[in-house]
Amino acid sequence: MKKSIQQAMRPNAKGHPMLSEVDAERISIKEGKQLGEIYKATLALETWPERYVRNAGSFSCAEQRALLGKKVCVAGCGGLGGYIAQLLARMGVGHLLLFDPDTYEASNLNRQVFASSKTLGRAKAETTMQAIQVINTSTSVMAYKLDVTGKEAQTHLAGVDLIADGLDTLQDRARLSNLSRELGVPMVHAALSGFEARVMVLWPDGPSFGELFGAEAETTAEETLGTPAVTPAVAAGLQCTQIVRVLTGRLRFGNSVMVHMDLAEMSTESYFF
Amino acid sequence: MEIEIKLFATLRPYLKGLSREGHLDVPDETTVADIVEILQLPAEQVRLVFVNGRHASREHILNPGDRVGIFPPVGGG
Repeated sequence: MKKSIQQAMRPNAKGHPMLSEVDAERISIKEGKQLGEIYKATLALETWPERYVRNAGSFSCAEQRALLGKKVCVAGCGGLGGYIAQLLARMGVGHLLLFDPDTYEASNLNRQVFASSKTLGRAKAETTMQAIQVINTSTSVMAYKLDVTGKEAQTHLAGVDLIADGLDTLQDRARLSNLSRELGVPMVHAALSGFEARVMVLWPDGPSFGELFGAEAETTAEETLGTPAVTPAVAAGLQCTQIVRVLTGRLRFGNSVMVHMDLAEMSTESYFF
Repeated sequence: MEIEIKLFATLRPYLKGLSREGHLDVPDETTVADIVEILQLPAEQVRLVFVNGRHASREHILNPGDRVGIFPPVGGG
């Protein structure tokens, strides 16, 4: 396999040694190996699979290779979760577990990336999985029409490296945080209302979601201010940036910092606990 | 003394009516809890308070020029 890759690799226009997607697929069939294995072997030769070549400079080959071996639980496949699944698949996180007990409703169409006239009434987790499989055929994706914090979901979470928060209530997030602590993995949290969002990495040895934000409230701000498309898109972008930083070891347990963004005012502030 | 106030999300409207938006003149030794009362914020909606970017309790005593940020509970996703 190494020889086949070395024979096929060429520098791309920007000078990065690259294996074209066509050659990767050809070698995958010839060698009887999964495409993801070809990508890993290519990166081990300090060569970029064409699919990921525009990640070059943002990640090293070793970091890209590490991401291909990581498993992320995407908790909820709605506004945040749809984008999270898409962004992680495009950045090359190798394994995604998608959880959502719900089906698409017309009120999701204003923001949820895989909600469309064709998917109304369909399960969100399954629909997101199908969309991801088309975007990146090498990503291993599992979809579960389950509440991620429920008992039934627990059996599927073995080996997870990180939990991405795509939930939409305080109660569920408090439970998700407890779950991440039990599993000993970080949870990358976001919440939004109107044109404001916050993002925070919750470490298993740091304070829990419930301790910081409370586990319940009479009302929450998005009930009044809504959730327009741009806010989950931007928040999920920041969440996924931090997710890949955690997964590649660039971000380690430290200060508990909450980043708050006001998209309308174009302002961002950091708050420390 | 003068302090700076930032209210977020659904709490923003409570800033209206301050003589100079975002600024408040208060007596020395004013606490975070006093601010909540002065601005007549609904207590249940005061979820997170930061003073100069650091998490603070209701009993926190304010100093001149402090920046107080107050967030309501937020659940959307």
